[in-house]
This record gives sequence, structure tokens and C-alpha cells, in this order.
Amino acid sequence: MKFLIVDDSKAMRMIVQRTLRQAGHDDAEVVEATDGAEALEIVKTEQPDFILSDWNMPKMDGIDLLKALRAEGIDTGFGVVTSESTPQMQELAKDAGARFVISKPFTAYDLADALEGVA
Amino acid sequence: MHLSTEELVDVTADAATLFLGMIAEDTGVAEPSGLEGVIATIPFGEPPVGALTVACPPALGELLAATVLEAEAPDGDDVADAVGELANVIAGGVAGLLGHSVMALPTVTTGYGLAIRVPGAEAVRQRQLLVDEHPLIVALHETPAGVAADAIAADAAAAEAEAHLGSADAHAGAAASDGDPAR
Repeated sequence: MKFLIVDDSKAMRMIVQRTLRQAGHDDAEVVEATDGAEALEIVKTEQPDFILSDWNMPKMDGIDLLKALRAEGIDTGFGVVTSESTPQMQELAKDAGARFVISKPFTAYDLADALEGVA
Repeated sequence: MHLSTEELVDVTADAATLFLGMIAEDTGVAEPSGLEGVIATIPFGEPPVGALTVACPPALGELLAATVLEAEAPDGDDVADAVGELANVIAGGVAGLLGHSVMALPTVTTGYGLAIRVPGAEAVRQRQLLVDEHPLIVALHETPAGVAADAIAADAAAAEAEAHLGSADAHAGAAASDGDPAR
């Protein structure tokens, strides 16, 4: 299974990747993008099975990335991993088609639960 | 809304555990001046009503970056990224407890003789935790009720660094978002 991890922080991309392995996806292939705009291009070439994206990023944030993907007819599974998740953000993400929103800091159990049945 | 010292310490300790897999121990009220190392500040609220700052010595910044990046010798950008992201995670937790959103990316300053000062806001919580024998300072600043928030800034005087809310002024690769409420 191929994941695309989108986060402007190199440290957080590594943490998400490490936690993904701990969550039982230790054989997953991982590709990375540093913002939504880069992710939008990488999705087309790499065709990941699932996208784990930060919300707050330069150039294009996570919710705009999700909307852009859906507008182009790309329905790759999408989960938001963010430092906060207000009810407003949860609703926005859900309405745009996100499968889940999980907040940092998160554990391998949190990520495994979120991915259960969707990846 | 109100954030207790215990809540600030818990949010900080949880973030430190995510990054380092280590326990962070609260050692008391911090004296955040004359610091050497890395300071990361991130405003929260829309419009901004406060800021969360994290400061640590170079050794802890390097340990953070080395651990999360699985690198033996992280460079300055890696350290700034790791400390900035730690501040981001803590700010997200704090802002959530206070009923606010984080609307910007962290601003990171590295240098000597640094002070944690947020013009236009007052320090309401300043604590020092100990992580692997290194001090980790976390400070919460809030604007007094009725005060315009656009004066809030993270000011590290020795490094001549100043990051005003709502601007895109940035250091160490961090930049402010445009303030869309959806972010």
C-alpha cells in the first residue's frame, strides 16, 4: 500500500511515517510532499492509495488540496493530521470528503484506529 | 477561557513524548530571558489573541531533530524545523483548550541572549520542563481583554527577530498563513 504524507515540516513527515509503521503499516510505501500544491502533482504521478495531510501549510493547505483533488475527480482516500481539530475544522474536512481528522500529538493506536477500514 | 498550569504542562509533555519518546518533567516557573538556543513562537486565534512560545538550548534542539529525523548530525534548518513543529503541536493543544484556532505557522529564531517577549500581550503562564536533563521552556501570552491583537509579536532582541501577526515575516523557513478562517 502506498501512502502520500503531506506536511511542510520534515520532522512531522518523519513522525507520521514512523507512527504509520508502528500502527501496523510497516510494509507501506511512502512518498512525501511539502505542501498541497506539490501533493496535487505527486498524486497524479505516484497514484497513492491514501493521503495523510497536514492542514496548515504554505502555498496550498490541506483542505484546499482535498477540494482540488475532488474537483479533478481524484477520489483517493484522505485523512487530515493536524495540530488542532476544532468542530468547525472537523465539519469542513468531512464535508470536503476527508475520512478522518486526527490531532497531533497522536499515538500509533490513534492512527491505526483512524485507518481501520479505510486503508 | 482559562488554561491551567497543569494543562499547559500536560500538553507540552505529550508533545515531547511524541517527538522524543521521553518523559518531560515539570520543574517550575521559567525565567525566560538571556536564553541561548532556539525559540519558536506561534500565534493563535482569529483574530490573534495570544501566542505560544517554546524555547530550548541548542543541545535539546539537536536532540529533537536527530531523534525525529533519525539523523546523526542535523543541520540548523532541521533543528529549527523540529523545534518549530514542536511549538506547533503544543500551540494546537493549547489553542484547542482555549477555544481558539492556530492560524499561522511557527516563527523560529536561533541565537544568544534571547528573551521570550510578545509585545501587546502579557505572559500568563511560563513553565520549565526537563527533558533528558535539558530545559524546555514553554510560555503562553495572551492579549488583555479589549486590546487590539495586531501588535502581538515574538521578539527575540539579540537576533533582531520580530514576527508580527498577520504578516508573512518569517525566519527559518516558517511563514504566516493568510488568515482564512477555514485553516
